Amino acid sequence: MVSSNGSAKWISNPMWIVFIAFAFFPYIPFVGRYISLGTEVLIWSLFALSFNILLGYTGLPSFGHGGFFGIGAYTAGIIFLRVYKGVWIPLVMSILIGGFFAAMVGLLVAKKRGIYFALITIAISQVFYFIAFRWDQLTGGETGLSGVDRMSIGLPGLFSIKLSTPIHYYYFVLAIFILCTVLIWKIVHSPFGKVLQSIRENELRAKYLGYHTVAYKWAAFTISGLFAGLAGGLYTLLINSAFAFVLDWTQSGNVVMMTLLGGGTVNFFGPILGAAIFITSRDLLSAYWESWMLLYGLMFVFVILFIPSGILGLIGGKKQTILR
Amino acid sequence: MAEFLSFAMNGLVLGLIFAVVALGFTLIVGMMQVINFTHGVLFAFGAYFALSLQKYVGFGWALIFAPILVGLIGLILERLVIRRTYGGNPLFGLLLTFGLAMALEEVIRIVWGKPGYSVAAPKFLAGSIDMGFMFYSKYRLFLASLAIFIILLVWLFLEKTTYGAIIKAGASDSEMVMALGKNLPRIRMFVFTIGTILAGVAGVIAAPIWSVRPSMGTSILMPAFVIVVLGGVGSFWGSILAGLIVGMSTSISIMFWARISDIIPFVLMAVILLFRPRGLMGEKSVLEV
Amino acid sequence: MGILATEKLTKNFGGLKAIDSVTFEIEAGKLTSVIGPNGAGKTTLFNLITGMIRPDSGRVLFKGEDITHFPIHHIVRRGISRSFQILNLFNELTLFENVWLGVQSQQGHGPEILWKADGLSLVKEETLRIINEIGLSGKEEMPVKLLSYGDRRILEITISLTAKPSLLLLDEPTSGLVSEDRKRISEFMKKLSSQLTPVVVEHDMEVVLSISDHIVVMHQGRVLAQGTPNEIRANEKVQEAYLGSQYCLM
Repeated sequence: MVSSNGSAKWISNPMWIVFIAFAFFPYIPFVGRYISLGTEVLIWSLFALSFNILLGYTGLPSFGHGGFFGIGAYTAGIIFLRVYKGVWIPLVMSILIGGFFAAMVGLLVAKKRGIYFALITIAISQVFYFIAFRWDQLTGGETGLSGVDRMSIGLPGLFSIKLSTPIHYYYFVLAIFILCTVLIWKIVHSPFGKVLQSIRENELRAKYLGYHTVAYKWAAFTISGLFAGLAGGLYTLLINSAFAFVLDWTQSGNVVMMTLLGGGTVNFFGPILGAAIFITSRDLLSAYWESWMLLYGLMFVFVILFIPSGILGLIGGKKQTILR
Repeated sequence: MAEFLSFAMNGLVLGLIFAVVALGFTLIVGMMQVINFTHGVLFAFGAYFALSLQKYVGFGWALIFAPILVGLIGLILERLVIRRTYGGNPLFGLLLTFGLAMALEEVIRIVWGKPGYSVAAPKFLAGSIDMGFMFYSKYRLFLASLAIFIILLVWLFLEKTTYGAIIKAGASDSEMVMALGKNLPRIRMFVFTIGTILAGVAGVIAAPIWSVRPSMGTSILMPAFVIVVLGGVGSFWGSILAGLIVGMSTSISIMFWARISDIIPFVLMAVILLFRPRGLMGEKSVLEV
Repeated sequence: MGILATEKLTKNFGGLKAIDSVTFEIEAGKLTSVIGPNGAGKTTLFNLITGMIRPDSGRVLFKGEDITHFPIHHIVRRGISRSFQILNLFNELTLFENVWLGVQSQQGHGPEILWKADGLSLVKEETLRIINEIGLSGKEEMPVKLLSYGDRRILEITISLTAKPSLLLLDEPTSGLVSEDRKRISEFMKKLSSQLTPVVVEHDMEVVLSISDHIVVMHQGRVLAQGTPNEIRANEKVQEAYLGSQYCLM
């Protein structure tokens, strides 16, 4: 929030640390080999950060946000395979289409709150899932889309970077991640972001201060959808395909879990930490134990019951009780 | 024509199963403001328990014991875990049950294995019966009658008993119930158990006509969400009505265009929400806060 | 026509007629008190006027404009503000943030997505000025939930003032306060009528009689009587309605 004395620098210290850590990741011994894992962490961090605009800052429990990630993912795939084999155009379209659908859904849900809001977002994301699953001509149905290659980017005549090389793609995604993180930081620390927080704290009073809260909620929903779509598009390029599972409601549950686990309700960077821990442990667990879902489910339960403010909430102690 | 009737009857039967499940779900939502994600997997447990019990004690007893076992699980969940989320952010209750559902589904896989089973209807209910205007599966008729009977039981309980009245009151104003000196935690435990028993019963009777797989819980949970939103959160008749609508339309749509039958419930929901945001019979509930 | 007028305003809750065909006017620049026993409909009236709930029938007119179906934020932008009987603050936020949000809105900010909120220096100045004026300097960084009840009551009114309204509805602003604080707030409200039009719901008859220019008495959702303090004091119907209650019309 705002304070009477200090101010929020637009790149504050933790952000530098995060960026540098990610920049050096590929060179860390042992773990640095898993480049694709690192890319996936970046993508999910972006997704979780955008989701936290809704959950942590506005207090809107959108439980169907995987839907926009999935829409972005499919859009990138469809545009690549049917329209233009490139990098930028599919990605830009993921952003726009993801944002468009978020805007449409936002119109439906902006007036709702609490559990009702959560229920409806779940149901709507399921619609998207079934459409992706069944509309064979467009989405490839159960088999999904494949063959979404990563092309090259660059300036013709000057230079060209082959994104098909994993480490190139990692830094490409990192660059986008840095840009988006700074953008999201600016958004939540803007007057707009303050209004979102007032809605979280006391929507009725916010109305009585003259804020058109429904419009703000809709805007937050849409903005969040734009970034989610981008994350989805980046994911499709990562795995070179798009499957219906990206729209599965468990994905929506995952992003909520990551955000909470890391401490998204008390810290801007919580979602990033949560994504990193979540993706890594999921990969580790599933490699060694077939029934890892059991542990995964129990972890959910554990976090909710015992560390609802997440890891950063634990570490921060009593200093920060709500997200500012 | 006969084909249509057959689909329609199937839709009715499906709708009744949905209604029983949705009823349990909406009772829990109304009473505790908890979206019970485990409702689906408990439905599955009902079917699986019936599967196992049937070998030893026959279908009749399985019909009685399986739901009780499910209710026991529900009771334990409520007592140990779920009740810690009351009064807090509703999202936590949702996430908690979400995690529990995932873990429980995996338990099914571990105990009963991954592939599906088919459960045969008991012999005395096998085959079809001549209803005059059509032949129809004896078992499905039995299922339908049982579902109706259960719904009536629940209705009688809520309407005609004092405990039921307290529960109805608690669903809209829990503070009042506490102020009257009633033991709210115990009531909630009771409601949750009943809700889960309903899910379990539905699972048992649906087993012969449903494909019994570990993921069968999800296949009923999603429609349950839709039905509760469609019928109006917390509304008894809303759930019943919406359950029947969803069941019927799903079944009939299979007849015309099977591919979209999954989406029908959601389309219905979207349409209703556009014109009646609280669902068919919903009232302003605590969930809207 | 007064700054605010209601015409046959009616609201039912289930079978209960909470507001029954209420028609009255508020004169600009005068302090009007709305009194009546609990359940008379006073808060419901405020809720109806400010757009929190919709009437079943009737109209609300503000400066001649029909605002009956306007949403809350519209009504606030038109110039009506309101404080709550039960404290309705941003409890987890600091004192500074609470006031800041109101000032930010009044100065026309909010939609700016990429500006720095901290960079709104005019908002910051005004916020600090207001906090200083209400005597709470030094407590800016305290979470509101940790402030004393008296301070929070003051804040409740202060926040509603940040919108710089022309009509201010105060719902039991002295509720729960000791008599010393009550006096402070009454004087404060009296001063307000030089800048805007206050309408106050109050139970403390001493306060009501001392500060009001005009009194509206409500009973069972209807306007029982209205007039100057002296007229109301002498009114038999009013005395009858209050007979046996804790109110004592001196």
